Amino acid sequence: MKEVKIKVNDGIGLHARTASVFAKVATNFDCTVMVKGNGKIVNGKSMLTLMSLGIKSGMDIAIVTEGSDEEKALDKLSQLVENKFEL
Amino acid sequence: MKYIQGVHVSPGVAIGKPYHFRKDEIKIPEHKIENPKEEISRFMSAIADSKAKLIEQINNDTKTGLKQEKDIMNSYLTMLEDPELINLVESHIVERRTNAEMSLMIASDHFICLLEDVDDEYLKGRANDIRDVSNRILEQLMQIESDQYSGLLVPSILVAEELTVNDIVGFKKDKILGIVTAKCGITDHVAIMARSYEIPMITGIENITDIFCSKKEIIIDGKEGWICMDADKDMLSKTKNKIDLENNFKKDALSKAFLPAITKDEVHIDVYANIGSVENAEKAIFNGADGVGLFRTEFLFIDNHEVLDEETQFQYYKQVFNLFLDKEIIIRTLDLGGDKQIRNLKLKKEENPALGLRGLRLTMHYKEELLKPQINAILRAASDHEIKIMLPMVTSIDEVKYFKKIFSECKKELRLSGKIPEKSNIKIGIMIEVPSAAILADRFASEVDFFSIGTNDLTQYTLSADRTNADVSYLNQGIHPAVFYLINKVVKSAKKYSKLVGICGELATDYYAIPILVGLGINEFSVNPVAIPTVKEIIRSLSFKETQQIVNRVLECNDWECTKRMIDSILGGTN
Repeated sequence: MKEVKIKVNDGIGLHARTASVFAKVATNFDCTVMVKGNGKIVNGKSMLTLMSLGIKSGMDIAIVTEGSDEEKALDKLSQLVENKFEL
Repeated sequence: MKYIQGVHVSPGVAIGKPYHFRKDEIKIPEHKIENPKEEISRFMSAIADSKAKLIEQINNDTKTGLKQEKDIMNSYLTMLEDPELINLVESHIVERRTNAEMSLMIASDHFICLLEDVDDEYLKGRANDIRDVSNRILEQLMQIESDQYSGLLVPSILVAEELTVNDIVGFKKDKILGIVTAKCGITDHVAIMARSYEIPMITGIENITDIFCSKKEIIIDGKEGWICMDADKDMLSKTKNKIDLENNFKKDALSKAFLPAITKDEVHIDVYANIGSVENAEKAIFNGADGVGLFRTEFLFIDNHEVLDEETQFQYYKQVFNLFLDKEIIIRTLDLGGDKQIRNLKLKKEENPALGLRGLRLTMHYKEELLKPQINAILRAASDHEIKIMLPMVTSIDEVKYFKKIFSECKKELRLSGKIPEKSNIKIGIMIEVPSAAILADRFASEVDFFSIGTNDLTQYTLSADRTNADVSYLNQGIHPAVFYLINKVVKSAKKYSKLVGICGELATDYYAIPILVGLGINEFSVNPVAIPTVKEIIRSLSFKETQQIVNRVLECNDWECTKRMIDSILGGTN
């Protein structure tokens, strides 16, 4: 299991577009992807639950991956967040 | 030939056969099922089908679609395959033996409520998206021969009681020649979309049956708001020529969009954009806007159905300001009223909202909730940008003085706390849209830095004629002599005090009004982003000297027909 803490800093937060991009990228990996934030933990491959975290720009989240490609997934997803959800 | 008068929503002329668009409500069946496995596979194939259809729609749209619309469609695609949504539906099917349709409804309600609990106004507004996506799956599940939108095969004029944004997105845009509806607000999203897609649109037609029953081609004029039924050959061929000419002119104008608008005798005029969203702002840049003459801030509130806090406003303004780099932006404080309700701002229902607590009156009334957070957000976002603030619905000098007092208090506080740099010199101006402001323009000119004449409201208030009422729309054609008299007065006052004066409103895009406004000495035209290239091209065809002559002649006219004849006789041939 791998975990990394990261700040969402795209100016908007985990909203429809950003959550959709995140979920789409997460779905490409076999490992499970969970996202922690705002005192909740949800499925990182689900755009709907990601939105329900209510993460605003400036807030911290933790990405947790577990499975065969956990390392690759974690790299790619944390890069995505750092890159303000631009692919 | 028969003419029917409606309310103009989006300019342009179109000829085509009417197509009646009827919306069907989906009734959701509920029953117990025997075989959960089968039900799940039925559900999964409905998802696959909805996905295929949506992908097809996105691909069809790549040429014509706007960026914001594409983003929405792409997020719908992700939502369609959401594993948690699918899980929840499956568990309902298995555990409660509920049919897929009902299970889907229960699951989507669950997520709608989940978002409702989030402390984020934007996310609360996404409930509609979830509903939209589940409706798409439902249609496949129930095999509703819906594609409600596929019936429109040949380019036609869309006729409907009412339309939603989804409807416009659903149809192939190249099949919609024009739109006629019974109901639609001039500032509704549908109206804004029609204008940004340049689809001529008319509303306020009480009996649309007359129109869609016509077997012959109809003509609509989205600028003047009329429909012509049973047009004769002569009328049809004249209109076709007119459409061809307009299209060629537009094409030519678009190729020169990034060049400045300079009259034949070298007078430079700024053509700015009216914007209300990021998407709009992008379109403005693409169409060669020299700046922003009207940034409508209320749309963000209306879209989110909530009063937004300073931080959210700051992020949004910053995002828009950054798009324009070194170009000037005039941002207008909230222009809301009793007719535009927002959830956590309990506005009283007014007998006569047009004359009620709206615009600056409203924001002053809610100083702590609305005025201060907005001023702070603008001040913070404005550093490094050329920003001016504009006040809507100003009626008396006291209001301006009050605003300036609050503004300098906010500025002082932000400076003390180091949130804005020492030097921030934001200019303050007002909209001239209430007759009293036009009449006292001289006195306002010494209080403010600039004027922007809002012709839509100035016309409506001066003539006491509601522009959404088809029966009195004859009063709203072109420039009424009384409105012209006021505009002339405002420009003179501005010049006397060396203040800039701009114009925003539909008149600024009118072929006949532009020469008059140029002749009066208006420095800046602010128009819908799609109209920018055309307005620039019209200005280029004028000579400032000639337009000055027009002004004196037109002042004698008593009606719009006379004005148009006069302009044709002076400019004839040159245009």
